[in-house]
Amino acid sequence: MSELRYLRLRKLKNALMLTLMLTLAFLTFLPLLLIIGSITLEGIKVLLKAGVSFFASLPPKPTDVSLGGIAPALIGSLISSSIALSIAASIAFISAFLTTEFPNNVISRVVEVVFRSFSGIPSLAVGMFVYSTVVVFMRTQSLIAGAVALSIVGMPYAYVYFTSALRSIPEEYREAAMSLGMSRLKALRYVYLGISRKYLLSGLLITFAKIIGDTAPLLFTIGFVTNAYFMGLDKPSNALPLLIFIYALSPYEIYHSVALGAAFILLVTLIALFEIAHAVVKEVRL
Amino acid sequence: MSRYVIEISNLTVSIKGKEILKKVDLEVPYNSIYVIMGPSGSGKSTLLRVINRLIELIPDARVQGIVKVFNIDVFDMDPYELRRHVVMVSQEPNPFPHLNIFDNVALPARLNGVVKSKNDLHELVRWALEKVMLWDEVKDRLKAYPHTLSGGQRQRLCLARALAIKPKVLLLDEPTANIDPENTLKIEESLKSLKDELTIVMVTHMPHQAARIADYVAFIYGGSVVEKGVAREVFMRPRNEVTNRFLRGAI
Repeated sequence: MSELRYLRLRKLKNALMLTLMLTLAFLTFLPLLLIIGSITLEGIKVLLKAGVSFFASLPPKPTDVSLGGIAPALIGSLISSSIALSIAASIAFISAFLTTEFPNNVISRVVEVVFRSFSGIPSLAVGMFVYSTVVVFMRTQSLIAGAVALSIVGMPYAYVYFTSALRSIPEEYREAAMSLGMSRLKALRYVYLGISRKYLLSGLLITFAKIIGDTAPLLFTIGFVTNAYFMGLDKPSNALPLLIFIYALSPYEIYHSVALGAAFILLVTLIALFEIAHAVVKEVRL
Repeated sequence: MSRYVIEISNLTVSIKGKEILKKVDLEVPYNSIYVIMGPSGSGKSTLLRVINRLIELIPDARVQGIVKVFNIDVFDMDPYELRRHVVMVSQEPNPFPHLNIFDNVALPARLNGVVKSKNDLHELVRWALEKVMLWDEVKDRLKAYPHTLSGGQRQRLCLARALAIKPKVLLLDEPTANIDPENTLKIEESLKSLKDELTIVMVTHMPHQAARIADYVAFIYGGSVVEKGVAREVFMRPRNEVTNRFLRGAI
């Protein structure tokens, strides 16, 4: 009899804890759901009203009736993020390879410490640094300055993900590659890249997400062009998060709408990227 | 020309200050199966890793003494060139998980320029897989990935991968330690059939395996060579009491 009661008590406890866990999990996700939900709802409304031209038009003036579009920011974001990603990813990857291959080397250790402490620097400070170097040197804000600032922000992320990807390769495959006469570079090209491709790609995507979504490094560097699509790499441009930030703080209703539409597009782009990559790159079964 | 493919003299290796091998002398004749036996932790694997210079990947390893392969000091050779001719198969089956069965055998051969044409490559892969008696088991699923194979099949795949490079010396680090008797016998069969083409140095902690396939044996205990010589003689009349105890399974 007492055993039965004990069992009931345990079942009760189990149900209680389970409810608690689920509630907490739900509460954790709630803010995220609310953000995504509201951006999606409002963003779709804006897109339906503005139509396809939202992607191809210049932003509106505060007094305009039609919503216009976000083309300069879209173009600026794509170009600056792509350049920034190529710079950040290549430098981070080479550094990650060196530090994982030669972990006891002094240079490796310095590189590791520098990158890891770099991720703690506020991105606004990176923006100011690039302003005082690149922007002052070029005498103008520019796409390139924005890209440089973004690459500095993205680099530590890429580095951390790439090193953990390369370190996740089991030692036995390193040994296999080496004992078959492969050089370190060949082993990297033909073995390590293949085995850790999923992790490397995740690292690349997370870096890209960080780069394309960051506002602060661009504040002083890329400019804020709303009356032209693209003027050249050495000329000012615009970017999605910057547009969202500035328009959201503005007093005009129409700018708020444009900002919401832009936020929705940014959100969809990121989710789509992650989903596509997830579907395309196959997991390696060890 | 020396009649030995590998000559080791006065080799001392320490890792992190601990002596793993002490004044080892060893001579491996061409086209033989040379088995280095000894209990776990006696320094056998380290010895193999000196021969192909994989020891350099271990931090804090110190090597003293002379190791010659083809009459050249290995530390004067380009390590990658050396490992192309002196290929090692590890204890744990480690086929490349991101490559299918065919590519596992083909890739190292391709990278090392063993064959010129695609046709030759196909022939080579087939030859290697046949040598390890795996061809019949996998010929219909060469595009499958290694995780679909059993442990023994995977180890034979690793052996085939090594053979496809056409090495002159094959180093085997307890290749059958973790696999079943049937696969073990298959591997031993293929090793015996390979003797004409290359020299095999194998490490094992199982004396009966050494007895089955060895032409020459060396018994290593506590980092030193206790006894070495023609296999038959060592097994029939071990001169050293420790060897005797090992052969009887008492160590």
